[in-house]
Amino acid sequence: MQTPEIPRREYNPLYHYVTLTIVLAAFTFKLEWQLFILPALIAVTLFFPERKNTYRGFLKFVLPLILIGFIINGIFFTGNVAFSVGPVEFKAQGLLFASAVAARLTLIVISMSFYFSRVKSETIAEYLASRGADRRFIYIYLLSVAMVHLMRDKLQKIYTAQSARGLDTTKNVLTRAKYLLPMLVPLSYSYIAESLDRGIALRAANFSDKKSSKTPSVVPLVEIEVNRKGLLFGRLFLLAGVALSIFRFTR
Amino acid sequence: MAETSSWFEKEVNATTIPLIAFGAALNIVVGQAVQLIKLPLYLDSIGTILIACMIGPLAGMLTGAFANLTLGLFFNYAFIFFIPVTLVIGAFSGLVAKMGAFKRWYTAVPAGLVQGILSAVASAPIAAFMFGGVTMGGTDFLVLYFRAIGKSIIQSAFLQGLAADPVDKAVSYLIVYFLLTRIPRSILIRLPGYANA
Repeated sequence: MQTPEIPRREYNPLYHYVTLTIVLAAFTFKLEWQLFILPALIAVTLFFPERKNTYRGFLKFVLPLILIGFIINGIFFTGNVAFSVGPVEFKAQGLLFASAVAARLTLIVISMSFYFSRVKSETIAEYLASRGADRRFIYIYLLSVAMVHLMRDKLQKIYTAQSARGLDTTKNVLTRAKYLLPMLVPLSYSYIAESLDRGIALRAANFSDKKSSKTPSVVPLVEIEVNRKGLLFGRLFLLAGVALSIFRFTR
Repeated sequence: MAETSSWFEKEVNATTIPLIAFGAALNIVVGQAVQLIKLPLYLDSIGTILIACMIGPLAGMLTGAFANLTLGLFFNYAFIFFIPVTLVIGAFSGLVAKMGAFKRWYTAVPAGLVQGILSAVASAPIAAFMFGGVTMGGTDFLVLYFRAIGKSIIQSAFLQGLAADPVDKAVSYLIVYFLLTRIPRSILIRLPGYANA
């Protein structure tokens, strides 16, 4: 019997080290430092084809959140008035607090969006497994991602069937809440039964995280080729970030 | 150390791993179901509560963490920061399940109300300091209201949580109770937390 060929994929750890460092900076650096990093981060991401995915989520979820944050905190904070729009006064302290939140969120979201649109989730999972992460957690993550898509399709089919039987979304809240059970019971029942069968298969395959010579090793989905230079520069980058964070708190 | 390891192994093993993944996916999919039938609730912890009841608190905590991780990576990064709240939900629902909270509907509802208060306590500091009190949820207008009557950010975030979470969690607990009564015994008997249902 021939062993199936495992696809090879190169992984550059520099990406996740840079992302980690930026997330660290978002929590520990001063606002002035963050405002220095932010344009640099935006400029770098604009050079990559993944910029579309990176900024789509930001514009959809984070930008409205930041704008509402500025309005709420600007109006309701107590302190000196920075400016007024008609009868509405915006306080300097509130705007400063909103700026800190905005800078933190923007740094985190842009760096993470960029990383996850550049690297596939299976590649990250296999890389973590190759670095000694618990295989059980990797399996839970990959399976839950796969299940979400299948369950959404099934839910849509159940909803269509229930609608044909008279499910009416214009009725009152209590009646609508009752509709939830006829949708969730068949969905849960079939997936619990399927999960139990999967469990039997895993046990039969001797799935375990214990590294024993007697236990057959799990075949990876993707063979990861680690970029050594990226690993070195990434670690240096993170070290510099940690050093700067310590410097910021000791001064 | 050996005791901790055996507790972990008991709840996270080859049999329960696919169930934990199912619970995480269910959390996400129920959100879609709620949108489809236009309910004014989140109900995004049903999978966590169900797994915590069927397996145990540790499995419930893992379910919540993986659900928020997946939601965060694919839909909105804000969910990742609320992982500590899902840990509280998983741990509490697993513990009350062991005490028999899911055996009757009238014990499930008060347990859900307490769960809601705990969730509000856990989520308030995250919502206040990470997001400045605004999370783009349907209840943001409550934060605005509490800020307008002079409450601080953390107080407003907590009161907003207190206004929404207990009802949401009580309904979630009730739905899990009904789910457990409707799933055939032949299936439930194969689950580690069979005695909790």
